[in-house]
Amino acid sequence: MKSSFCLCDVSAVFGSFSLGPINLRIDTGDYLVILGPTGCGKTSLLRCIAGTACQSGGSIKLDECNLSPLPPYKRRIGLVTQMGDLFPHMTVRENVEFGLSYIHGSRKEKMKKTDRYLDLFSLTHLARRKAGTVSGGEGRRVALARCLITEPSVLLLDEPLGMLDHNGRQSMMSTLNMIHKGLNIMTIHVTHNRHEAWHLGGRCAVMNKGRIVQEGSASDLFRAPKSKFVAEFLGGENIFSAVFSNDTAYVSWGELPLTSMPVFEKGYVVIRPERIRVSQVKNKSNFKGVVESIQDCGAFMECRVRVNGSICLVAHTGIDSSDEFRIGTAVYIDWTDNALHCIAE
Amino acid sequence: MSRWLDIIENFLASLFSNIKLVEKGLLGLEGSYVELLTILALGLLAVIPVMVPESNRQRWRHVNQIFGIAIFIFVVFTCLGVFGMIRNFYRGLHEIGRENIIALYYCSVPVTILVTSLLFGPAFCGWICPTGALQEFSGFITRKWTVPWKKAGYPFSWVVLTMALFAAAVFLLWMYRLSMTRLFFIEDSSIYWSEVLIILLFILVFRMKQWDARLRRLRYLSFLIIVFGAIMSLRITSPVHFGFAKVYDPASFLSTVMVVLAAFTIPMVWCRYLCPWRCVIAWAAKHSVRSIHFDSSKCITCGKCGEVCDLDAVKNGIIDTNECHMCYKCVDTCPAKCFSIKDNWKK
Amino acid sequence: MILPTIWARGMKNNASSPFRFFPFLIVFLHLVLLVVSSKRGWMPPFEFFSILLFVSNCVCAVITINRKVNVTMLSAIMLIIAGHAVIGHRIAPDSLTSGAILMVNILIVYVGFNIYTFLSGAHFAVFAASYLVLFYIFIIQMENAEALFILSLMGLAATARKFSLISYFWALVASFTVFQPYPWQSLAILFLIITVILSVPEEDRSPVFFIFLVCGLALLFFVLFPVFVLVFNEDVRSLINVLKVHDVKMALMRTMVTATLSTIILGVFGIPFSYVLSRVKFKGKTLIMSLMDIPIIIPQSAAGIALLRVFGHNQVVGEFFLRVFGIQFDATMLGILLAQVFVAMPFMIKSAYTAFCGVPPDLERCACTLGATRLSAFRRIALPIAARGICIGAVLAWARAAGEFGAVLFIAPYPQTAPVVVYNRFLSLGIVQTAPLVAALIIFSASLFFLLQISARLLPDIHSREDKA
Ligand code: SF4
Ligand code: SF4
Ligand code: SF4
Repeated sequence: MKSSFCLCDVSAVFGSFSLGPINLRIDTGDYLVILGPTGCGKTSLLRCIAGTACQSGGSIKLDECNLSPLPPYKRRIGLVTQMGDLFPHMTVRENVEFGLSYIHGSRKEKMKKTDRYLDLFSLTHLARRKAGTVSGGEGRRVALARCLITEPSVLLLDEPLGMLDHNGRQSMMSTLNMIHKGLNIMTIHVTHNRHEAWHLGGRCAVMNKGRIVQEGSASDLFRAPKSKFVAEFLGGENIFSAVFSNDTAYVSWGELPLTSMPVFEKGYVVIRPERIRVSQVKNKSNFKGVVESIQDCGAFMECRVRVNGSICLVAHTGIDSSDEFRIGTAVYIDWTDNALHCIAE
Repeated sequence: MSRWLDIIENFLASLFSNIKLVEKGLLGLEGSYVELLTILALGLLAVIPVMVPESNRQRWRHVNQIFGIAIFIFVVFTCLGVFGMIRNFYRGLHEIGRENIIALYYCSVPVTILVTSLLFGPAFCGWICPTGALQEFSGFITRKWTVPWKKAGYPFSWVVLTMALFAAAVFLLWMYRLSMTRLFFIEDSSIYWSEVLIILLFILVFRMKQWDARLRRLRYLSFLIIVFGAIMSLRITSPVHFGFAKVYDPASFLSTVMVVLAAFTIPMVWCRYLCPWRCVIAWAAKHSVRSIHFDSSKCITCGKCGEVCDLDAVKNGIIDTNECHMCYKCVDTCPAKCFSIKDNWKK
Repeated sequence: MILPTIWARGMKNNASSPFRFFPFLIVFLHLVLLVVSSKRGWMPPFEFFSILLFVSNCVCAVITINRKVNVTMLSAIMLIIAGHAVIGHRIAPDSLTSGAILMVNILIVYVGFNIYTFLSGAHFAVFAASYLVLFYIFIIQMENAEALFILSLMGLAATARKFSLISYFWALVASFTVFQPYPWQSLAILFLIITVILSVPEEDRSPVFFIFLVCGLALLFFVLFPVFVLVFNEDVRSLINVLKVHDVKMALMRTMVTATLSTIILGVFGIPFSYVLSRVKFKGKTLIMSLMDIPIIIPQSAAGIALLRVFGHNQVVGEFFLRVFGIQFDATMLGILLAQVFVAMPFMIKSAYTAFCGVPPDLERCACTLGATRLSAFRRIALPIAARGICIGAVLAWARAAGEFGAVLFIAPYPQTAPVVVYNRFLSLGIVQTAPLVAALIIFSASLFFLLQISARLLPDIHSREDKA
């Protein structure tokens, strides 16, 4: 059965901070990642949807049914908060069982269901432990199990990968994938970490100051940010203000030829660091610079090159480039054609 | 039947009613009734473990124990019972500033034991204590059964159950006998301890392994009761106490018999689970200068040390000072010579 | 013949030691002294005890030479033995006493030598100073205290090597000599203080903390001392006797029942209220919170009179109750309840409030999204987590209610509660007759209080674990 979940002009006010109006739509099987810096209202939005915070306008619709006037316990929306919010006085098993006690059904069935979910989230060995004693990653899994056992129609995840160590992230990530693929539940995942968006997201939305500023697939957002904020937030470096004319972007330190002319005249130009080539040989390039710092980032080297004495360009180069040049080496810079992206003011 | 019991009891009463070799405690300090001999004897007995040659140490130890029993039952008047020492200590402290000599009289035994335990380890338990010695000697008789039982990890065993039943039967019969002629008072409270002992026996026979460690905490309860009794100025007599009094005390006598019988079944059962004085000694042992040092690099984990230890205080060389009696049995048995006796003044 | 051979063999083992002739010399000296003094008639010739000591000296010499033990130490011990053999009976009344003193002296020498060799100079200084002070106290200051001197020397020997042990030892000695009329009281307090100070971890041992701690402990001492004096000075029998008096027994029962009832009342009304206070923001909350403190700030007698002014049987409200429901407040159990609820209210509400504040509201929100209504979130989440704090608050409230005197005295001087009984007894019988009752009351309520406290603390401490996670 196909169903859809819509937010229409949802807005809310929390003291001096106002949220929205926000419009969003997800369908069965969608996994939406909402990205945004800390304090942009992501958590508040989730709380509005879940009903634990009041909205001041708009409506939340599940198919044709308006959820806005309903109290949280009738909405059938699952919320997994950042810290998991386990009930510390109960065991893991009791935690998972909690939601079932508000649903009709025989004891036996409920037991069975709990066992199944404990197994699904590989929590069986923890079942008798007090919830306060499990580790961060386990805690999140418990919270997920506890939430999903009530079979909510929409699952809201608030930073489910935040403050986890590497192993925890990996196992949580695979759990989330499993939920998404296996249970096929509509999910809204809120985070400030763009890597999560790449790993998980079909769809992405970027939020800023209580509003959604751009929506689209993760790669779209990354390649073609619509505003400077999005570009910066998604880890863009090398953002320069520019004036566009004659297929050229004029920036303070030079002229950059463009393959396609944007429709606006003033704005920003972004140069993707991974598309920049740094070499000691001059081929068609027309920029010269001096390596200022070079740092090992594991999969690549982050190389900062000072161009024209004033501007620093960041380039991602191959891992063995540190053999090739050191700090102070004079280098030439050029980039592939699609390295440039223009943003309106 | 009843006539026979009468005869036995009268015999016992006559045996123990005039047990002392001397009329009063040996005198000292201006002819008062202070028993300085206790200090002397205890001091001597406490340093003997250092003096004796290592090759024959266990034999010397048994001689020392026999000497301990003899001297304290037949000569000394101060109580060396495990309850009496706590009570007397309290009473002695109370007398300080009023009757100093009486204070010394009451305090001498416990203070000497504590002091020697703080310096030379809890050797009192392993080398001197009459209660401990009685149990150890009675344990010899049943070693044949208890050692394999222990080796097998204390499973249920018919032999041991029979012994426990026997102890219980003797206790019940004797109690029945006593209850005809006597009302029980607080003074006779050692029979309550014997009762607990009998119950313990059965618990232990069936669930020895699981409950051993937990039941050892009973000692603290026992200690608290005795301290409370001392504060309430109740006179509570302990097993072997009858040996220190000039009159025949049937309750104390019975509980002594019970301790001995129970130790047939489970070696050193009183020391393990009920002895209140052990709490004090264990404290002293924790701070004592002398301790048994274990060199784990030499250990071949043969488990022999655990086998010989009646207290189950040592396992593959790791000694639990809370339980250890400093009998040096493990030191003498270890084939790899892992143990050495160390004086550590810096501790 | 045998002895010299053993020695000769031992000498070879020990050839390097410059003191190897000492034991030999001392035995010789001992023998000469014995012969000389018996010639002069200072002691009966061949006195049993002296011969025993001579033999033991020989044994010591053999041990010293044959095993590589500390020669100097054993020589010193041998000297002491020799000295006792010769003049012991002149300083002690009989040979047994001399023997005991000898044993204690040997112990002291043994310990002293070991402290000197193995431990710091400070330890030895403490040891020596302690010896001198003990000598001063028991031999010079007090009369007939030689026996105590022997005892205390043994204690010193056992404890001198550790600062912690010796401080306990001195606490013991001081409380039984300096603080003589109140030995047990001061012993308890001193032990408490020493334990506190010694258990401060190494890294926190700065003089500032020490001084601050001592300030606090001085205050505590001031509080504890009178209480301990009252409690320890009564002997147990009189305490039990006073508890058997009918009036007292009834009053105790009544106090317990009313205090429990008022705690229940407070719980029923106070817990939901404090939950709301902790969860909901509204105007005047601060005002309400500070109004809560009224029962603490006004004098108890004033509280009693205020209650009487309202609920007394000839006042408006009191008369209304009397006429309509037939309930009278003054001089009834209800009056007691009223007063107790009045004074204990802040304790209950404050601690329940703090306990609820410690429960993150997110937990309840979470429960709501899982299908719980607000009420059931309160019941299943907030209440169990706050239970510990609430229980501790309830225990405090209970104690406050049970101990209430002023307010109860005015509104319900009869039937008597325990504090009122104490007061009446003091008025009619005087302080000496009241002391056992008061001691019994203190012990009774203190033990009950601690029991309740402990059982409240046995509830799982969820909060701290939450903090760690
Ligand atoms: S534990 Fe008690 S009874 Fe056993 S030897 Fe030690 S002091 Fe004696
Ligand atoms: S007897 Fe010696 S070698 Fe064997 S286990 Fe014990 S300590 Fe180790
Ligand atoms: S551990 Fe060794 S010294 Fe201690 S009681 Fe057992 S056998 Fe004896």
